[in-house]
Formats: sequence, C-alpha cells, structure tokens
Amino acid sequence: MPPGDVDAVFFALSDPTRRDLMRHLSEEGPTTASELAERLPITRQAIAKHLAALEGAGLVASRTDGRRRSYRITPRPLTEAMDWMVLVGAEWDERLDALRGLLERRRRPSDA
Amino acid sequence: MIDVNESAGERVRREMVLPASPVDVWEAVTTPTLVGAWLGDVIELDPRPGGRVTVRASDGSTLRGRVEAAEPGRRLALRWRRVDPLSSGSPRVGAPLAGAATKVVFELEPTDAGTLLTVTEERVDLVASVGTKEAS
Repeated sequence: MPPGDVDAVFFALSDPTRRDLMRHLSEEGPTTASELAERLPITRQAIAKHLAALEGAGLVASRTDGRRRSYRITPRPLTEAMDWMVLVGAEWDERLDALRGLLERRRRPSDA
Repeated sequence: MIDVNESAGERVRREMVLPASPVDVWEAVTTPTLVGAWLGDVIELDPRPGGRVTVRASDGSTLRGRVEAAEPGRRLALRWRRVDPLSSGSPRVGAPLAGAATKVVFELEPTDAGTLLTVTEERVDLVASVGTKEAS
C-alpha cells in the first residue's frame, strides 16, 4: 500500500465516530446513511460526511440501487498489524487526553 | 497536544507533556480512584512487581495482567491481555485486539512544564509466547 494511502487510512480511523460507523457496517452489512442515522446520535448529514471520508480512504464502498445508496466495508486494505496500531493508538490518544484533563482539574483549585 | 505520534511495527508509542510533577503523575497512573478517570473502572491494581491489574474499559472489555516493574515516579511496566466479552460474536473492527497480550510501559521524566510521559504498548504474543494463561 503506498504511503499516502496508509496516511488516509490512519486519518480516517482516528475519529471515534468513524470507528463506530465501521463497527456498525461490519456488524450489520450494507446499510444506508439514513439507517445509520436512526441508530447513532448524530445527524444524517454528519454521517454522510464521515462515510465520504471512509470511502476516500478505501475502507468502505457505496452502491446505488435505484434511490437507495448503501455502504459496506470493503475487503480490508489493512493488515492485522495496522488494525492493531490504529485502534491501540486511538485508545491511548483518548486515555492520555483524559489523564491530562484529570491532572489539570487536580491542579486548578490552588490556581483559581 | 500529542507531541510525538509514532507507530512502528507491532508497537504504539505516545509522548505527552503533563502539567504535573512526576510524583503527581505517578499517583494518577497507580491510584485506583484516579486511574478510573482515564483508563477505566479499576477492579484491582497493585502497583508493585507481580501485582495484579484488572481494569474494565469503557467498551466493556477487560484488561487483565500483572505489573512487571515499578520504580515510583519513574517507570511502570506491565503486561496485560484484553479479555473481550464481545469477541465470540460476529467479527468486528476491534476483533484483532481481543486476546492479544501486550506489554505497556509508562516512563516519566521531569521537565520545566511538568512531566514528559512516554507510553509504549507492544504486542508480545507474536514474539515470545511465554504461554501464560491467566486464571480468570
């Protein structure tokens, strides 16, 4: 996989909402943006934007059947190792942000 | 802000400058009530070599393992394995995480702004399988 594509994949999966969408699509198979909007606490417009980002990275593909446009997971361009790094890396980003927040809150009382 | 993002091989590394002394950061990564604020619900955490660690992550999976090394204020190393209650169902994006044994190292270094925390997590199940099966 060319380096640019790898970057696109990492970027696409760096967002928790997009990871959620990947989870839904992998669990439920081909799904439309409207169907996803019924299950997730975000607007259909936001979902369409995230799906476009995932499609741009080659992680999902869309198919139009009449007026219905459904999205599905593509055969994985990721190796298992990349999956692991993307997911574990994203977990640590979230944890460290929370840790920083905790330390800032604990410091604040004496500063304020 | 993340200062360095590096993901090479089967290893993830993150660095972050935290606005607290190494002593305070150590407390935040080893005290169960504080760890609950950033890692997950702590079921057990004994920050001494050989001490048990069990944490329930926000996604419902459990991280279970043991502390390998602890130098208060400087370095904490542990090994854990993700026990994922959902992994028996349909394959999902997170599936590669289930069951993987990893080594996690926290390194703390004092800086002018506070503490430079470096976290590395690497897979150990693929390298040398020690054959440890933690009792559940």
